[in-house]
Amino acid sequence: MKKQNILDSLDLAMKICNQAGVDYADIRIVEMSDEVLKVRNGLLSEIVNSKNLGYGIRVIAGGAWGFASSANLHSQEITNTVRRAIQIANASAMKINKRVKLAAEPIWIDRWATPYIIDPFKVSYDEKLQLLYSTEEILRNNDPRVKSAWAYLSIAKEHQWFASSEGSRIEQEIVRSGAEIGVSVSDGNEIQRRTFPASSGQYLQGGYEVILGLKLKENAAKTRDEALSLLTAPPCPSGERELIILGSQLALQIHESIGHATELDRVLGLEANYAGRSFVDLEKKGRFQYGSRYLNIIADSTMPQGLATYGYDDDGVRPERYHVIKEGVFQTYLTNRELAHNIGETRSRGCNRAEGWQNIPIIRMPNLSLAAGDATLAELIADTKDGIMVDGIKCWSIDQYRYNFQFGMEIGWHIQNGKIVGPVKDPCYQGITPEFWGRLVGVADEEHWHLWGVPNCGKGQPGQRAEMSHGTAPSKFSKVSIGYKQA
Amino acid sequence: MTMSTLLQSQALSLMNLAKSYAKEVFISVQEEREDLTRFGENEITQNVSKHTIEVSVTVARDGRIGQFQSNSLDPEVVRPLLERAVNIIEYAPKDPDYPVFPQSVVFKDSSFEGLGDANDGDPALRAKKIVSHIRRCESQKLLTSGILSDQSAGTYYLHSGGTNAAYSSKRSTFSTTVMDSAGHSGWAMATEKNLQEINFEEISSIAIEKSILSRNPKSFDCKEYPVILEPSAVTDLLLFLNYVGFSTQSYVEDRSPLKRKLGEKVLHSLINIYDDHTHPLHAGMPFDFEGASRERLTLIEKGVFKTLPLDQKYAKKISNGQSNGHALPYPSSGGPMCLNLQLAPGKDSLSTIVAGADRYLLITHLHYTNLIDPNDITITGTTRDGVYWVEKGKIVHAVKNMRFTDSVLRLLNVVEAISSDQVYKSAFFGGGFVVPALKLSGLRFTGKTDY
Ligand SMILES: [Zn+2]
Repeated sequence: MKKQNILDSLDLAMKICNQAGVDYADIRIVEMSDEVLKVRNGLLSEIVNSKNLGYGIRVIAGGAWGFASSANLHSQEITNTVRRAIQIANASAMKINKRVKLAAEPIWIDRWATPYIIDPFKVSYDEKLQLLYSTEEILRNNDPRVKSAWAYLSIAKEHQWFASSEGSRIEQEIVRSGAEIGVSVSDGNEIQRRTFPASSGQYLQGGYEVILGLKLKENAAKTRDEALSLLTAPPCPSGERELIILGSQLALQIHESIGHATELDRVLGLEANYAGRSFVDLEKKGRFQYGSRYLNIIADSTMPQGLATYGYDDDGVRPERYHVIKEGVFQTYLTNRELAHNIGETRSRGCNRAEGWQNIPIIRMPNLSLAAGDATLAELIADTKDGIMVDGIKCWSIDQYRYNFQFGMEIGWHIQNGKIVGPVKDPCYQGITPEFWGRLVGVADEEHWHLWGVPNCGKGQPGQRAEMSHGTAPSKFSKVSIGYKQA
Repeated sequence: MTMSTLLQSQALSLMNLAKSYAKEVFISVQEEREDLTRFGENEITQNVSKHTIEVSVTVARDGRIGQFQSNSLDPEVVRPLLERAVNIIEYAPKDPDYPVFPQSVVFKDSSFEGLGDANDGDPALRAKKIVSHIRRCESQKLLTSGILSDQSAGTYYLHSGGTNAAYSSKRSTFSTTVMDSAGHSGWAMATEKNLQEINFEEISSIAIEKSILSRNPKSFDCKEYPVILEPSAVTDLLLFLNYVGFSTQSYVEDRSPLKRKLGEKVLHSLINIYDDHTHPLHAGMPFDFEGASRERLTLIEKGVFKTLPLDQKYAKKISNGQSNGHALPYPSSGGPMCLNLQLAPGKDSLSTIVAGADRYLLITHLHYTNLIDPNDITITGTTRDGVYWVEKGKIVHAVKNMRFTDSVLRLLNVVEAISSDQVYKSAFFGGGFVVPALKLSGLRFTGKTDY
């Protein structure tokens, strides 16, 4: 698509909206390029080599929202799409209890792009596939116990143009790269699994340098051997014990029990029919003890490399860095322009995002990270009398108030008297969100802090996928309920 | 003119273009329209319309493949993608089990009507239905949220060997949660071929009634309780049974919980599970993504594990070489899969089963159910929107929500009764299943909540 055509389309859509006299309108044109190459058991088992272009038009008319989308950028179809959005807004207006009111935002005319070193789409298939084949071969190692071995990489470029009836014109280009390797092993009785660097892949914004930096090949043998060790490892002991949670699992714990719980649309009941509500009701703002003093959670869509790093959200709001939880006390919610006023805030926190062009933006997590502490991992372990250390996401489940959760991990290590005794299989733990975070007794320091990507967060009806990152350092919890079999 | 006619002719030109690059070409085009109105806290909050197309093209040479996907069939857009796909072939390994795909099969599908330019419902009609439901809730001081959607989807499949298949379907869904100011909730949903067939009053009444019944819940200890799972609560069991237990790839690779158990009794003798695209509640595709005819499968008969879904490749590995029409698009990372599962109904209605139960938990549906151990298909999730204690055939009070953790294989072995009523519903993580209610002698609860 030629750039001039794109800009003409933005102008045309806004012109028609203004002529129709709507209260507000915006258009997002999005071009997605995706590539996934997956090698499994020696074969190329998945190829994504995709382009996708279209636009969504959002209007407020009669105080209510309407949204329509199309892949056809001809001027007649743009006109039709605007008309459809207005017709839908008029239908919405048949039952609203208050008119939509957007928090003020400066007009932005800007361009923002992910910095990267190597354009991942320009790296040859030869090079990318050689990396995958050679890594997968090490994972498989002709060992009959390795039933399934896989290695994949995934890259994406999202080019978007935004125009609003208020006058903002924003162009953004987001590039992200990631990969995963893993094995499923069996001795004929049970099966076990281990993945690296994280079980649904590790992703960052950036180019092919991100994938090279993961050192997939260098970590293949260790990943396979850890999986095989689980075939003879004892089951994870159960009962109330100390727990050390490593990187990606802790990222998911934050995602599920803090991130989703503090989305303002959930809190206000707007997601009640599917994803659910939240236990963090409006009374809790600024005063609720969410966890111990070690719990500092920072929202930041301006940080380098985060999957939710952007110049502007899909409301055209420039994001800022802020505390969601400070020294254990809940500060504020994740908001958009529509809902910010419900908590007395005059500006959106810049969390409104849509999947692609065909969906309406909804509140999505920014990058949400646990601030590093001052311990080393060795100190956290040395300080543990009888505990379990866990890594590798296997199962996650949390109730509709984000209150009662249970997680299962790929691997655990039993710690006794400050020393790692050995691996244990099928670890899992459960808890109640504020009780659990209340038992946070130590966070490792910056040396151990990493940003973990969540590439597949689902929300909304129709369902939408979003990406975001969570920075974590290994953390220790006192007395967590471990295991379910004896419960 | 329907959009689909245009798409089909564009797909044919794309086939000709692709054939100039590779001998064997597969094209699938998926078209979807969805209009959806969403409401929350007694007002309409979101209202959207989308129309998406995805074309996926596979080019193959000597057991090596390349692929591309696009939402445009414009030659200017697809040519560079096609060239990238052809480039991938150079570096792809040869699949030693590369199959021969069905040639010259033409599916004349009577249900293919094309998607048309719009769905039945204009947004004002959807809004009207929603407004009357909201008004009923308001009059009883209740809060409601939910969706009303109109969806249509079409699939068009072409193979360079002359196979040509097309199929389209429609669905309309109304789903709603109703709660009082203290959060005591009820939920109900219906899925029909179109909006006119949905019984809005009935769904509205069930959700309201369940919400009222959910008041003053008692807290129960975490342990095993006999349960009656309403049909909507059964879908999550089938999702994981399908994904883990009926995975042919896992079976062949000796990592299935049902490995080496074909022909053995693995579930309770009351259990019969079919994959049946002709079931009226499913109306699934009559062909698969390799152009093979989709057969009705008996996966479980009286508890005995009878067969598995096959594509061309896995048919050679474990069967007589004959696919039963359950391919996902080649090379299908996860192997063949059932898309139209049905847990066969029993003889008594759900209300009869409840009337005959004493000291059972009646469970409306489940939330965020996920797999915790594939070895015995242990899943965990929580109850939601209505848990009731039944004594002597009557609901006596509501119960606070709980977390369960239990094995699907164990649960489908402790079946006491299956209801005659079935519904079509997707599980929390997707898929669509036709399921009845189940009365089970025990479900293991492992966690409590405060509400
Ligand atoms: Zn999520």
